[in-house]
Amino acid sequence: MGHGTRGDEEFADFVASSSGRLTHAAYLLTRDRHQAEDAVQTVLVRTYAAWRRVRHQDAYGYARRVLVNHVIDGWRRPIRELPADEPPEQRAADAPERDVVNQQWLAALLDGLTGRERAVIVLRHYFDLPEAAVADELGVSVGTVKSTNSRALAKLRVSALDDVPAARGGAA
Amino acid sequence: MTDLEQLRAALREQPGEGYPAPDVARIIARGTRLRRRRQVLQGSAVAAVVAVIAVVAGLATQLREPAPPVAAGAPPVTAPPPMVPASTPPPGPDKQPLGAVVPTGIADAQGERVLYFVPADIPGLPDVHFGLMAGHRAPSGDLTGQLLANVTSGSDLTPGFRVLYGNAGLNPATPVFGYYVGPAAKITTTVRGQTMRARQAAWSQDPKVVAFWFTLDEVPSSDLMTPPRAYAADGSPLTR
Repeated sequence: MGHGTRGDEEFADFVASSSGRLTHAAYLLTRDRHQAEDAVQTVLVRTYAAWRRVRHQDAYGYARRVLVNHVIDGWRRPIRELPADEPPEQRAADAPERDVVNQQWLAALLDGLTGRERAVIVLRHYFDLPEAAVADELGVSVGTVKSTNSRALAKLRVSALDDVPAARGGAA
Repeated sequence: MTDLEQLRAALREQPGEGYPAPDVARIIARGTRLRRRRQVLQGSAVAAVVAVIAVVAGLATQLREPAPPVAAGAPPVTAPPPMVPASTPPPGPDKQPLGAVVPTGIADAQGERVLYFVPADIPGLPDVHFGLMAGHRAPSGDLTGQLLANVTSGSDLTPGFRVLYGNAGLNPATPVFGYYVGPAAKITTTVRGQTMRARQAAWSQDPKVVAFWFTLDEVPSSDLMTPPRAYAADGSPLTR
C-alpha cells in the first residue's frame, strides 16, 4: 500500500470518522445520493493521494475543500445552473412526522437555490465555517459570501438575525 | 429554537437509512495510482528543467571557447551564436513543453505562473495529442506543472473553446485558463455584469490555437464567470 501500513491505518480511521459527514454534505450539495457517494469516493481518492502531506495537518478541511470544488466543477461542466427567482413554498408549521417533513422541506428549499447559494449554505451552516473561511474556500470576497448567504436565507425564508459569525471553524 | 437553528438542525439530519461505508481498499488502490501519476508528471517537469540547463550550459561553453582556426578557403564564420530565449522549450523526449512557454505575468509564492502545451497520449482519445499545462516557473527557471487540462472527447483541434479550467480552491489558487481554436483576437467573459478581457497568446507551434487566461482579480473563480466569448479582429463573434 502506498503510504505504509501505519499511514493506511490512519487513513482508514479518517475515512471511518469523516465519510458520513462528507457524504451528507455532498448530498446536500448535489441532492442526489449516487452523485454524492461518487463525489466522496473521488474526494477520498484525492485525499489519499495527498495523505503524506495532509495527514498531520487539517485532513478533514482538505477533503472538504476538494469536495466543494469538485461538486462546483461538476456543475460547471455539463450545464450552467440558472438561478431560481421564485422562492420555494414555505414549509408547513407543526406538521406531523417532523423528521420526514424536515427532509422534504429541506429538499424543496435546497432545490430552489443556485449552486453557489447552496455551497454557501452548506459551508456556512452545515460545516459551521466563518464567513472568511467560506470566502477563502470558494475564492470569493467576504462581501460576496455575506450577500449570497443573505439571499439564500431569504429564499429559504429563514431569519438571519441570529446569524452571528461562528466562533469556531471547520466543525461538524 | 430560531429559524436558523432549525435550518442547521435540518441540514444535519441524515437520511434514516444512512450512507454506505466507502470501500477503503479500493480508494487506497485508486489513490496510489493517482499519486504515482502525479509523481510521473512532476518527474517529467524536472527532466525538462535539466534539459533547459543543458542547453544554456552548452551555449555558455560555446561562447567561452575560442573560435577554431578557419581553414584556408573556407568561408569565414560571421553569424553570431544562436540566442536561446528564456521561453524556448528544450529539445528532448516526450512530455516536455510543446512550443514556447507562455508567461502570464502572475506571480505567487511558487514563482511565476506559466502556461505551456504538452503532448498527450490518452487511450480512447485518438484525436487528442496535446493538453494545456498550468504551472510555475521558479526564479531559477525550473518549471513545475500543476494542472494539466485536455479535452476528454473528440478532437483537440475542433474550432471553439476546447479547454477552460480554473480552481480557486487549490493552494495557491489557479487563475482561470484555457485554449481556443480559431482566429480569436479577443476573448471575454462577464463577472458580476462587468466584461473582463482575457490575456492571450497564440501557440508558437500552431497559431490558430490560442491560450488564454484571466487574472484572479478579474475572475476570482470560474464559478463566477459567464461562458467566455471569442471575437475576430473585425469584432465579429466566433464560434463557441
